[in-house]
Amino acid sequence: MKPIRRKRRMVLLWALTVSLLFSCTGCLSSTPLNRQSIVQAIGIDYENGGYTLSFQIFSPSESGGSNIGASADNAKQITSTGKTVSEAMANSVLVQGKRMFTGQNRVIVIGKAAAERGLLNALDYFGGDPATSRNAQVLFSETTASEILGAKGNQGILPAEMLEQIAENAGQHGKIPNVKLFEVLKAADEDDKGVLLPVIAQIPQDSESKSGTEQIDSVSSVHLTQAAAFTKDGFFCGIFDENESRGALWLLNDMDHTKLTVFVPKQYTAALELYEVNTTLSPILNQDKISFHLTVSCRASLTETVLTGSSAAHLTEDITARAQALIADECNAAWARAGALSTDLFRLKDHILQKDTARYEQVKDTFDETLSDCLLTTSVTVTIDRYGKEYLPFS
Amino acid sequence: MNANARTHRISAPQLLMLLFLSRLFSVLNISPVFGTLYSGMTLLLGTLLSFCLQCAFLFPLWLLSRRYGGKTLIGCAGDAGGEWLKKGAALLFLLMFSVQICGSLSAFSFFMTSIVFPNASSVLILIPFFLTLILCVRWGLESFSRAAAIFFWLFLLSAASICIGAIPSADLLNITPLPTQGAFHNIFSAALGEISKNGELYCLLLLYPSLRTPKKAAHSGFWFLLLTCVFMLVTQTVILSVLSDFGMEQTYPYYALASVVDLSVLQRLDSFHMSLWIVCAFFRSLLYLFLFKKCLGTFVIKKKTRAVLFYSLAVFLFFGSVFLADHPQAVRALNTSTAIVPALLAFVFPLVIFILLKRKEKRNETNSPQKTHGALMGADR
Repeated sequence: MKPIRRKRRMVLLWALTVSLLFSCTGCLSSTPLNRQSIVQAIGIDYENGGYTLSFQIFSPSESGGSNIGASADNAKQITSTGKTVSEAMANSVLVQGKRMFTGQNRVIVIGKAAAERGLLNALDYFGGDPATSRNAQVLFSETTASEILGAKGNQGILPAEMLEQIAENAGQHGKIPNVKLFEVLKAADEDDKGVLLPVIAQIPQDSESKSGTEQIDSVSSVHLTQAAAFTKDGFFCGIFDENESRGALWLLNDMDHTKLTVFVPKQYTAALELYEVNTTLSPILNQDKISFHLTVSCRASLTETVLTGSSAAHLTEDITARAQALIADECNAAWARAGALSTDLFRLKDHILQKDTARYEQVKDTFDETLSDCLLTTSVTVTIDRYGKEYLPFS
Repeated sequence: MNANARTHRISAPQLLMLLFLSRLFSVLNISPVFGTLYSGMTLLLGTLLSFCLQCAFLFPLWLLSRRYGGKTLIGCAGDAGGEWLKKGAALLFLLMFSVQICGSLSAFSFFMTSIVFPNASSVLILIPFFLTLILCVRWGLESFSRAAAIFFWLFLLSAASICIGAIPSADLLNITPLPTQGAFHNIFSAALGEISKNGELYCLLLLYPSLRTPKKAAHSGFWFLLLTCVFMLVTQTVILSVLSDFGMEQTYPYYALASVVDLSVLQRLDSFHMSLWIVCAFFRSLLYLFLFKKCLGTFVIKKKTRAVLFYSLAVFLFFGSVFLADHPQAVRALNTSTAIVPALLAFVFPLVIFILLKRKEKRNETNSPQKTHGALMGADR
């Protein structure tokens, strides 16, 4: 082959290879960054017969990367409405000149009115859109989502980042279940179990400063304290308080580690850090009824003891026994609440299915109605094997 | 055998990696859009059963590669039944490779136009892809096998990172047990579905003479099947334990898994995974196009005529792919009950050829005892 011909072929080869890359890396029908609004949080509300979407977008207040600081001023809120969520999304380009990019979205907050119309109705669009991050945290607001998104936070570059961290921390520290978008979609798709979402609310602000002096701004004006329960059809059905929410975490086997406070009036207050937690929920399938047994096994560190009166004899044993009772109480409270709501929030049907497929087929349609008749027995073992000190304080 | 012929051959691990990447595309590309997907334990047991059945399909390859390692199945067919059988076999493979090329390209285009560039034109996606394929086919098997070896490790790294990232979200409670009724039927259907997607089984019958040691072809085949089975079992278990049956209802279950996994600062692993997915599609199409060209050589010996014919047919393949890309229901129809094709091409047909060759050999030995099977072992690469 002649060298010139060979050279031409090589050039052609490279041109074609480059053209392949063009088709695969986003140069086709692309939208430049300066034409996109990077959505960090989405709020979904239902009002006046349609959905209202609030977008918190990343928008530094001053040009130049060096001015991006840790403040709420880096975020702006955009609102658009539509009869459906997808229509509201489409309308969002009409209220501002940029296209919404939801690939980096961190949080979705659902307002009470939207939640009452069904979770799947509110979230279906985001499940089907390949660009949307399915790892976004899903939160529930008892008021409106736009109110939560508008709340100021002074930690992190964006308020959405703070909301995401609060939700993650609540789950990781064993307070309230931490739920991601794909988990909600999965539960809605399976159509036979309910779901618990963390409830986010604004912290009530005092209208006047107590001391009359100038105060430092609060880091956050929102908090998570409860969980909202949704039926298998995705409709809001009730609230789990703080105790019940923790109980739900034990029952869902979502508890990794947590802190427990044992309070005995006029004796002591002790703080335990449960650093290793194992839970197993197993069904007991008798001929006529189904019950469940929860086994909890924890290893704990006694991190703090405040003596407020005469100390009990064998204090470590006493703390252990009371901690075990406390965990059992939390589990029973969550169990009773789920029974009262007649909703399978703890994947009980899945446990039955794993144990006995035929029995599952028998009970799957009527299980929720008979849930309040199901008994829960617990066996909790807490072993305190770390004391946070170099000597054993009470031995 | 001259030195040049030896240097243009590939090693058994190179063949294994090339086949694995090619097969991966059909593994990653499973979608309820293109056929029925099973879930839970049915899927896992179906994958295991399909591995066992596919191992049996390697038996004719083992026989042929050990005794007639210098010739492809088409060459063996020529020796066993004359020129007509040779051309018939070549035509059969040509048709199968055409279907596979169109299927692979349309699946690739469907993926690109539904995930990467939603609602984009499939023609725009396929033109540069196809042109590059045509050009790369000219480089030959050795060059793209070497390239495949590099991407093989990258792919394993990507898959491992996704599986590790998914572990915190995994829960074995999500894997549904076998149904009370029709469990075996479902497992068997799932196994047949897997077999129907494994066109690489019959590619092996045309590739083994290109190995440095053709006798190792069946070994490569076995390791290829084992590696694919392990990969599938691990990824399917991860998908099911993270996403449950919901995962298998997504347009692309593997993509759905990649999109929900984050690993520390790598928040969208699906972007990395997607680029390797494109590479898998490329190697699969390249392998089939290379074998398509090889089969074409059976009919036309003249180099220029062969080139003209190849490019003309390539244009047809391109338009066929564009048509299928816009009609996923046609791909779905093609996919149903096609497990019989690999069974025929990878098991029945080569076994028949082997028996015919053995009979011919025996007859030759009876007629002229000094003539051995070595006479049938001319080079045909």
